[in-house]
Amino acid sequence: MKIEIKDLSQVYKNDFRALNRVDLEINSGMFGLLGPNGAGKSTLMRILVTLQKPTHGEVFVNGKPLSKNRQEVRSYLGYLPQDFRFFAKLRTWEFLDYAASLAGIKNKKQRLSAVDDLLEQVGLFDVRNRFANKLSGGMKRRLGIAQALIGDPKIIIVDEPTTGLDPEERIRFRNILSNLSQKEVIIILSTHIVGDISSTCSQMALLNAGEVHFTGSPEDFVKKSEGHVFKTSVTFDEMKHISEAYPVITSIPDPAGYEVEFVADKLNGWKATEVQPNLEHAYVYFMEYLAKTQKD
Amino acid sequence: MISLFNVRTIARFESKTLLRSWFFRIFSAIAIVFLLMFNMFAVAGLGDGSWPGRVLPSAVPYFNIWILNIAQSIIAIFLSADFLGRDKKLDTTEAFYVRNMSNIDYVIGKTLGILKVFFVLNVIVLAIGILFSIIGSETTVNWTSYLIYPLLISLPTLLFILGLSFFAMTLIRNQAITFVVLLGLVALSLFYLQNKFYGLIDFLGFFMPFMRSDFTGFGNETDLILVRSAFLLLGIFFILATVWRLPRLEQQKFSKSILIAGLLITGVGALAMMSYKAYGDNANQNLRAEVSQLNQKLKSTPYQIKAYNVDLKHEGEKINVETKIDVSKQEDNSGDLVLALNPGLKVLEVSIDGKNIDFERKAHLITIDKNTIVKESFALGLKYMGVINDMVMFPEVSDETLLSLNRLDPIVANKQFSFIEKDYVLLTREANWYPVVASKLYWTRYPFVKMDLKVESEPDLKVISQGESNQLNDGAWQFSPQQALNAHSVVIGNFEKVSTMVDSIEFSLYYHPKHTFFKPYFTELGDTASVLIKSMKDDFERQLAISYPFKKLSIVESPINFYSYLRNWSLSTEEVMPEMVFFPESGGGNWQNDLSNQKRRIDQRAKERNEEMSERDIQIEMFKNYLGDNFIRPRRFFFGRQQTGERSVENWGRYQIFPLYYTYTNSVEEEGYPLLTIALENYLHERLSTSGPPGGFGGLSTNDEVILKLKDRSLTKLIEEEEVNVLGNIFASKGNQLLSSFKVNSDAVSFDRQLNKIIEESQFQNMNIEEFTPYMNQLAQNDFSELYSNWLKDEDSPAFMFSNVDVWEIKEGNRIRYFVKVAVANKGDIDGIVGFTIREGERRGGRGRFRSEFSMDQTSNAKSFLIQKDETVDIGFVLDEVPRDVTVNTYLAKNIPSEQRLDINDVIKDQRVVDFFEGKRPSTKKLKYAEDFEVIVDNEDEGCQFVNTGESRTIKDWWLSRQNEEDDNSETYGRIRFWNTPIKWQPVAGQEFFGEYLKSGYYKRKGSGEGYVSWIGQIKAPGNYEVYVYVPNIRDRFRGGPGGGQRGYERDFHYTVEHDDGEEEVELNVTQDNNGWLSLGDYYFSEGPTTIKLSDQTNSDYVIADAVKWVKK
Repeated sequence: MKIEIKDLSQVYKNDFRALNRVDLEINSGMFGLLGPNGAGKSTLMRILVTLQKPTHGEVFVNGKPLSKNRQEVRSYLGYLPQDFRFFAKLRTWEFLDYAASLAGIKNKKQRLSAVDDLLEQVGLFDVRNRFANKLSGGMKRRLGIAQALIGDPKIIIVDEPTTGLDPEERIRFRNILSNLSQKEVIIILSTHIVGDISSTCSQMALLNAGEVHFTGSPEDFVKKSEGHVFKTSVTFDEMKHISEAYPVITSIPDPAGYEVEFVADKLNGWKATEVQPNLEHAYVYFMEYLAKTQKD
Repeated sequence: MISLFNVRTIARFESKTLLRSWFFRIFSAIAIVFLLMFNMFAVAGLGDGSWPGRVLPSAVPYFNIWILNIAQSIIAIFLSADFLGRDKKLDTTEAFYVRNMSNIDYVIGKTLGILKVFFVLNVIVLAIGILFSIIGSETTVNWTSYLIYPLLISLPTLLFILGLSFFAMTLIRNQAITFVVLLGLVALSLFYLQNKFYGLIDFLGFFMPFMRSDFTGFGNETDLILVRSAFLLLGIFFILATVWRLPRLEQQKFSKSILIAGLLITGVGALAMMSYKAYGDNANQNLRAEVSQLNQKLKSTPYQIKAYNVDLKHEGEKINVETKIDVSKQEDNSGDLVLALNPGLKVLEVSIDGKNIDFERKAHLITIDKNTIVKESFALGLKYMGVINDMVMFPEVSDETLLSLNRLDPIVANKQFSFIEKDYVLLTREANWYPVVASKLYWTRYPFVKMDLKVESEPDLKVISQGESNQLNDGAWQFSPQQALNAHSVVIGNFEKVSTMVDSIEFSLYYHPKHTFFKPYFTELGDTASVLIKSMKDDFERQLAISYPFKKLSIVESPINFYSYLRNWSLSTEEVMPEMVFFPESGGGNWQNDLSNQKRRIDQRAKERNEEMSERDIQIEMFKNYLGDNFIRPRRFFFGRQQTGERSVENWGRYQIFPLYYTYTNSVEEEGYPLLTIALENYLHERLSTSGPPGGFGGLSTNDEVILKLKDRSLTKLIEEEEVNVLGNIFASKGNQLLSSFKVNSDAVSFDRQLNKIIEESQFQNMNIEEFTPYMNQLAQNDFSELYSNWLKDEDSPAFMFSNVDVWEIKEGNRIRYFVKVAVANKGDIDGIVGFTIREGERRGGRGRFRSEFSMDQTSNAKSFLIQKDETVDIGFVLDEVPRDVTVNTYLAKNIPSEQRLDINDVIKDQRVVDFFEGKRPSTKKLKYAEDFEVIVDNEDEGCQFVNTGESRTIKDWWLSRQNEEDDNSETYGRIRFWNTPIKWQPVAGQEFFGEYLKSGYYKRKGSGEGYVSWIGQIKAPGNYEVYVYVPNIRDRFRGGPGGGQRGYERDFHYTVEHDDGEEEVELNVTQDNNGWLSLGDYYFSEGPTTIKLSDQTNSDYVIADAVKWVKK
């Protein structure tokens, strides 16, 4: 499985440019699409799942243009939309049954067993007879992921899946995805939460204001910010200055003031020790410095 | 391209969601419960419920589907608007949108899912219908109808509505607005557009005649299928358009072109079907207009048909006819021979004395040049074949009337005027299936001609026509004339026949072999039937004083879709033809023909009276009621509506056999309308009138409406000025007046005897007015020609004033008798006639119509008097019993109502000798409207004004006021309505009201006091006056029942009297014993105008305003 996105642009009627000449290559495995709210992630996702036509550019799936092969691509797809909350009056299992039917499982027996398997997998088997709109928020999300996974899709696209989930649910959710990423499938996970791009993501991209600022592995991404994350202790007065000068990532109060971690391109006279960056640090560094300089 | 699996999946889940939607559940539950109740009570007749339509073929499935169709349309609109609404804003749907299915799969799946659910709903409703039909046992279950109605009514409407609302939703993209817009469309089509525009707007099929006859089916299958298929196609069109507009990227590139092809096919198909229908209707309308125009130009003719010899072959859906006609021509006259024949019949050949000749055909007219006619009498041969074009029949009937529905409480039957089907034919005179000489106004007076008729048809069909019937062999029938007739008709069909001989007349009933529902109700009658027929016939003929002129009388069951119009120049419709009455199948859905209900009522009545009635007694009563109500004295039912725009005649019904005694036996030819014939017909028909003294609701009789119309115009002028469609009642009223004026010079009994003789002597003869004049001279004992021409030309009218009725007890020999005296003054411009009817004795309680009506348990005296202009006379009667009521008929005088009951004073038992007399004497009394010392202001006077304020406070008021306006537009004076009273002052007329000649008043629903009526009187002599107001004796019958006491009466009125010392408010409480002129008290008034006001504020439901008078002390 391979998805190539070439020169993709999306301009909305109000001249808002949601995507600007995006080029990406996505191979099997889990792909994380990171970016702040309004970066164009959902637009890109919607184009990928054939809900929307790009203004310009093309997406190639296994080398074939998407715009001419919707039928084929749709047969590969599993999609969890961002706002997956409203259901017609269907029971949990019926909802999955519906999705399974449309995913092309024509044999009733097979379909029902697939439904049960997935219900088991997402932990909804006990509530299989409950009406889907009576499920809790987390259960609804899980049902969402279950319907996206049913029928063994080759491309799974999940848009902001963890919004509003409690930590336990979030972990459970990541596990389901990472289990899947063992298979020969593409999983595209779009998020504005850095934590969602777990180490299971073999590739990732950073999208900001409709443009791709980084593609590669999460390790490369982190590497880019090496030498730009610092730790120091500051007084109350200094805290004010430092938070004006740099993006502060964490600040832990101590008797003399704070112990802060911050990102900086250059230290400009502050005394601080370097810290080994993580994904979150990298993201902040990117957003604050690299994205800006790239623009200029 | 379309994946069936996907479609089925989507449909499956759509139905599932639909079934779980509360909106759907509630609405369909309401519909089902309503229909369940309907079927339980109306169809199965549980409880005391009844709906006579249930015995009509196919009426049960029709009604059920018809009602369900509206309910499900509303549900469908809501649901389909909801379907895309759900889809649009919620991402959840997108999870499905990205699945591998095409847009067409999706929309079709959704549609089928909804259809599936409605299919179940339809099945449930039809099953209920079938179940209760079987329980009710009277209704035969017509299985095909149970299939046809859902297909023809439900399916096209549903698809159309679904498609339209889907599509509207893709355009409007707002569920609430779409819902409102579409509901508005439904309301618009139901309440406003109805069956306008050739019925092409009526997507609900609410106004389409879907009634199926057991004889002929729908009768208009082509039209129905065309229009319904057009809606079906339009539905598919919109569904495809929805696919096209669906906010989802299409799956395959090529599907768009297929979609467009589909759109084109369905769109163009629907359009073509609709245009075809519109074009056909339009062509027929044009032909109809052409026929009318050609008819206008016809001149009087020298030709006369002497005899017909007709050979008719019934060939499938056509007839093939060969006729030989003996024609004669008046010597001194020449002109082309013009014949009329239905334009649907193609003339193949015309010959004179065996030689083929040229002819010209234009619409219905066949013109033969006068130069090809050399002899004074000749044999004209015509060969023609084809169908009957119904649309050119009744050409003078207005389009509005033509389009009005043939409603059968409440479902709709078609209006077909003739039939030529494979196994059924019905041709009446109006179908013009045999040629007649077309002269000026020929359709108003057909000459009497003998017809020899031979009919060939299918061997298993029966043929019915006039004359002596002979079946030559299977399928061939010969009819030999017994007399010349002015109408000939043919019926061919599959009939069962029962008959009986009464007074050497053959009475037969021809009925559809399946329609045996009536049999169980008359099992005990046996030979009694003929005895009953005889006694009813004798009663009827005694009353009409003419005996039945034919040898046969057949009641022929005819298709429910058969219809005809009552014309202005005759009291007969095409439902009655010589020797036969076409009675609608299964009784036509009339309440009085609901046998089980009738039986129950007779039973109940007997129980109420503690009478023991055997089954036989009950059957006898039912038999009498059935014949009486339908054929003898038609009953008007409270809910029986008049068809829009059609003429209404009191005491008339379309199956009444009256025309067999006069209309189809007598005719006097005149230049122009046969007014004398009409006058005689109406006069004779009046003999059957049983309406007692007028009263009750008020309102105008047709005669009263004629008075308003005639105002200062002569009959001749009216005929010129008014449309033919409104003349009917004028002819009738004027006719009545003419005959009454003849009566003045002789006593009623000998006048009638003489008239009967004249009528019997002139039966089946073609007489013109000159030949008829001597008879009339004798009858009128006067110069008929002069009377007649005055009658035609009079523009003025008399105006009568009556005193109260004085009654004295007198001794004549040793008998106690009663002398009744009334003073009458004629204050009008010409002499006039007053007819008196006095009923004697106390009212006797006889329930059951024929009990009281056929046994004369009351005597009545009727006498007419000529009262000259400016004359005041006393009219005297000497009676054996106390007069119960004295009614006067002033015909076409200024008085409205023209028939009124006079007030009777208490009997004077003073033994003093009274100078009693019978008849007319000059009177010494001076009848005056107002005495010198009185000032009267009536509501008709200039001094009376009214103010309406704040009429439309709520939408309901506004709606009601619109409806009131619609109701009251047609007539100037309404009748009092006790429900839904008007919110503006409405004029009403009736004898309860006060008035110089026109007895009228105003009434209005109770108000806030802002609305009022004021009377302004001009006081000439200053002084003390007692002020009176006139409060008419109107009783709300529905509220003040027999045990209701005062409830219907009690009213409070609030008057304000303006007098010299200021204003005085007076509250007046009106009760049963307190009405008429009521005093508001004594006041001093100086010279000049003074006002009395009546406020619309009251505790009762409405206020009535009439007249005010100031009486000087």
